[in-house]
Amino acid sequence: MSGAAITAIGAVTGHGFGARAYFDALLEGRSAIAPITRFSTEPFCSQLGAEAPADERLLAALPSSWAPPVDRASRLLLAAAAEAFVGRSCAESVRRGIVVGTTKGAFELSLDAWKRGEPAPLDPVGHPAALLARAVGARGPVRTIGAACASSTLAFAEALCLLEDGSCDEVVVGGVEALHPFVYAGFHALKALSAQPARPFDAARTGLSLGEGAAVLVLERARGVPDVARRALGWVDGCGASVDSHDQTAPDPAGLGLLRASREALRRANLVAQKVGHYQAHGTATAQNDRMEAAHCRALFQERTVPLCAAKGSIGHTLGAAGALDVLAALLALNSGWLPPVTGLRQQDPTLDVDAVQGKPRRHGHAHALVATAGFGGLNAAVLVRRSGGGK
Amino acid sequence: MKRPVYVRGFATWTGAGATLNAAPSPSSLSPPGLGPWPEAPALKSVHPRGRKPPAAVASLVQLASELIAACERPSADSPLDPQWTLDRSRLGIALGSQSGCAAEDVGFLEGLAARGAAFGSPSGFVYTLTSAAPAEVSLALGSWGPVWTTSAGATSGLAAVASAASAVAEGRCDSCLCGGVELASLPGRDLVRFETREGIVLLLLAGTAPRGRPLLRSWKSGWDPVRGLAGSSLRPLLGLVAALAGGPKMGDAGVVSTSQEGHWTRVETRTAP
Repeated sequence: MSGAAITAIGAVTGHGFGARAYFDALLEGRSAIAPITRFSTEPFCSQLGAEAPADERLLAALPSSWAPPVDRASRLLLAAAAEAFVGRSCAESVRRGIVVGTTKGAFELSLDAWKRGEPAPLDPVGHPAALLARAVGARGPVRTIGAACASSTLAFAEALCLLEDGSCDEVVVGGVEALHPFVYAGFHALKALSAQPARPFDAARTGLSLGEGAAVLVLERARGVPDVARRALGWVDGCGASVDSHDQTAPDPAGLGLLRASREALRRANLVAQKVGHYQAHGTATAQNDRMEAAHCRALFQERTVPLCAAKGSIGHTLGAAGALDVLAALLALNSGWLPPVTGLRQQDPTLDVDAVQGKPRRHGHAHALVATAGFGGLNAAVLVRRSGGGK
Repeated sequence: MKRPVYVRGFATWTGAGATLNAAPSPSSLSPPGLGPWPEAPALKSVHPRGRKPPAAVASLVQLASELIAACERPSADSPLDPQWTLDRSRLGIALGSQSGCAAEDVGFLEGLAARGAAFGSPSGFVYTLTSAAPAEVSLALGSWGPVWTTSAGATSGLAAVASAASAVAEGRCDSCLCGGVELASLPGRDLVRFETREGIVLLLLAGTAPRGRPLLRSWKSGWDPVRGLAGSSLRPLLGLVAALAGGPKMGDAGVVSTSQEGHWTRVETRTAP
């Protein structure tokens, strides 16, 4: 595998529009987690979430030539794509594919239909990707990947396959999730929500905060195409995925499944673990996940202390969008030379043997980051990201 | 380097019952729902974890387990085939569905309506993820490879096969259980706009196989919103299985799947050496 160049980025999060706004918030340790306004959370153990901009603002962010979606998830995805496609051609191309990761996609369309007593439309999960394909002129493969919280990380693996097997020259990789009372009720039922804003890797962490958002990254085949290499904002060098085969909700506490995914990503990137400069953690702030990731890091990096970053204390757990937003955070950290602090972390859990960046940004000079995600069902995925201009 | 992608085995479970490495009946998508399968293994015997998944997920686990077991048995047709043991550490699972988890979604919603928003079923919620079903298969089989679902309109099932084929060809996994699952109804209720009847179609793809096994010669997907055609998620998969079951006399064959939105996927097989 030769990896792929990242040539465009876009994002919408609880911090508003733009990849830059997202990363600046991470650097400043700001949290978008606040009382939810769009639906009632009164029955639940938490009232918090990281809400993205209102629907009217999402629609206003779209080019006038793009048909306005009716569902929130599609609006989030297209708003992120609008940033990525500034100055890019949306002329139809059979060499342009779409791979989007999400857990529920345009689920509200199903709910609305059932409320009216009608059957749901077909494939609501794939609906945002279909709208994205129309908007950006994709005529290659259009797929939506469902892999729980690892959905959009696995989307990168799918995209690399499409580039590597010659199906596409360019793949628009997306991750999207909209906050919805259905999902909120589910995480409340699982007792996974924290009544306070999430505090990843903190000694006093009590669970996750949900969030919503979208990220879009355009990957291009670079081998033999010097122009692509010149335009690269960074690189995705390899992906790995695995399943724990342990439980439907709890991760393998030893982190062995995530370890397999990370090692596969390194193998496919032809990189050794010693070259990884920082680790972008899944960091949900549940007792089990953070403990599992600490075990994973110890097994992967052995005696090396590798700085750890995590975004979910800032933008909440965006489920299917989390992987793409984490890859974006890792890329921006690599290119900026600064590792953002883990938002919400005040006192690291002393039982977790990690070097979480705490309090203020940390200067660095490395070129490679490992992004890891772990989802329900024991699904894991890892991505190796390299900064622009960073040699292997 | 790209590897060949062989079809080690295939299985279907539709209204006409279940088949293993055999052609399904031409009218297998009627009646709706899964037909009787008296030889189905007891769930407990193939899923030792003890958790009781929804009926649809249990059916998927049963069929997947039987397919794997059939692939690992010495072949009656080819007694010289060495017995093959699947390396579960490198087994991926890729399933496609256009109806997704509609039944589980409605079940969770009805629980909220009956008991209150604060009293949702935690186990019910878990199965409202499309990935919960293939994850359950991985729990039953003890596999460690990548697990994912593919949504691409009515092409979801064949797109999952194409995605799995790429994964095997590019070495993301050494073998991959793939196919389509459409099990979204509740008795007396149409939950999705659905012309396809229900069923499960599975294939086991692998990068190695004894000489003479059928292979997937090519796979390609695209998007054409102008020429989108409503299609059935399972019919093209049943056509693929019929081509594979036809044996060497089928030679090269191809199936195409299309969706109303514009997805299309084409998979070509070769059954003659």
